[in-house]
Amino acid sequence: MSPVPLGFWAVAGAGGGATNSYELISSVILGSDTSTINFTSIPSTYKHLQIRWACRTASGGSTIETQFQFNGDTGANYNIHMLFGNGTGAYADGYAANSISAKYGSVAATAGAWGTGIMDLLDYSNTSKNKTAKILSSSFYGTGDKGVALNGGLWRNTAAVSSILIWANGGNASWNMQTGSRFSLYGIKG
Amino acid sequence: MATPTYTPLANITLSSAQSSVNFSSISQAYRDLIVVMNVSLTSGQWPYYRFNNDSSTIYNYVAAYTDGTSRGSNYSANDPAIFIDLNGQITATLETITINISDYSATDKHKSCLHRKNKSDGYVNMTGGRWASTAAITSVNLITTTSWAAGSTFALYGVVA
Repeated sequence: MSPVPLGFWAVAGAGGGATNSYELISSVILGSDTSTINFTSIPSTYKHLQIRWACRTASGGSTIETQFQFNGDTGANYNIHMLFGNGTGAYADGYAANSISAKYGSVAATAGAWGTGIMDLLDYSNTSKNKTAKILSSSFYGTGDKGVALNGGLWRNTAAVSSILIWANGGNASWNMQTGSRFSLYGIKG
Repeated sequence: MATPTYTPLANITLSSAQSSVNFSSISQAYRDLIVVMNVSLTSGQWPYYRFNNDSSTIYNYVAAYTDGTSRGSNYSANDPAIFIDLNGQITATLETITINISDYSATDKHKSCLHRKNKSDGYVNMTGGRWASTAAITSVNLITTTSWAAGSTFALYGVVA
């Protein structure tokens, strides 16, 4: 590894120290195929949340979306807008829904391949704001269906987010997330 | 109790131009890696990155991009590297690039990465990549056919999960 001039990473002088501001809250690695993952009892002590993941479904065709639902709200209280590219063209879409989605968050079982994504949920505990999310995701299904997408999501609710339900679907059906799929929840202080 | 994470592993500022920058002997103690770059080149080119110095043709990537006027998407399969932006050169203008590498130490997964590139007078780009190898990543190689300019910065972070 090249030498590291610590620069602004250096710890403060005597009596002080850098504050850990990005903390792992919970991480799930599936030991068996599972229909949903639910992060519950999320502490309200952070400013923002981030979820990082790698996901694959046992079946389901090619492009599989990863879905996120907050506080058990199954109503049509979410909006999504996205910009995505599939190697052929760049496209946009937007609609109301009953969850926030990552368009290329997962992939149907293809040897070694995994969908991946990062979701930032901003001001998740602020009870004066509807909740906004930014999601970057990508997946490859063999040499066929593939893509990269930037999604913006809105949950039209000012409640603090205390739980996040996650599942995968494609082709109008939900699919079990496969063994080895991993979702990690982080809290960011501010 | 929540676990502190997001650890700086290396931080490089080039005192002189060089054709490649390598993060090597990467600790396997993390779940994800993040590379953050603020860079320019000595002359316009299309830089790329590899893992473990692997130049075999097992990299796939798909990108979407716009310069505010035109937009598009491209895809490349079975390449010897992942290009940061096939559509827009990196030039002498500074731009920021962030590369997220997921499950880099997992030996049961091909390696997936997401990168974003932002250039104030050119293209913004998002790319998803896949290195079709289950080997743990021990080095990240950032390569150009010209040179990364003096003053370019490269930082590597490990994220625990």
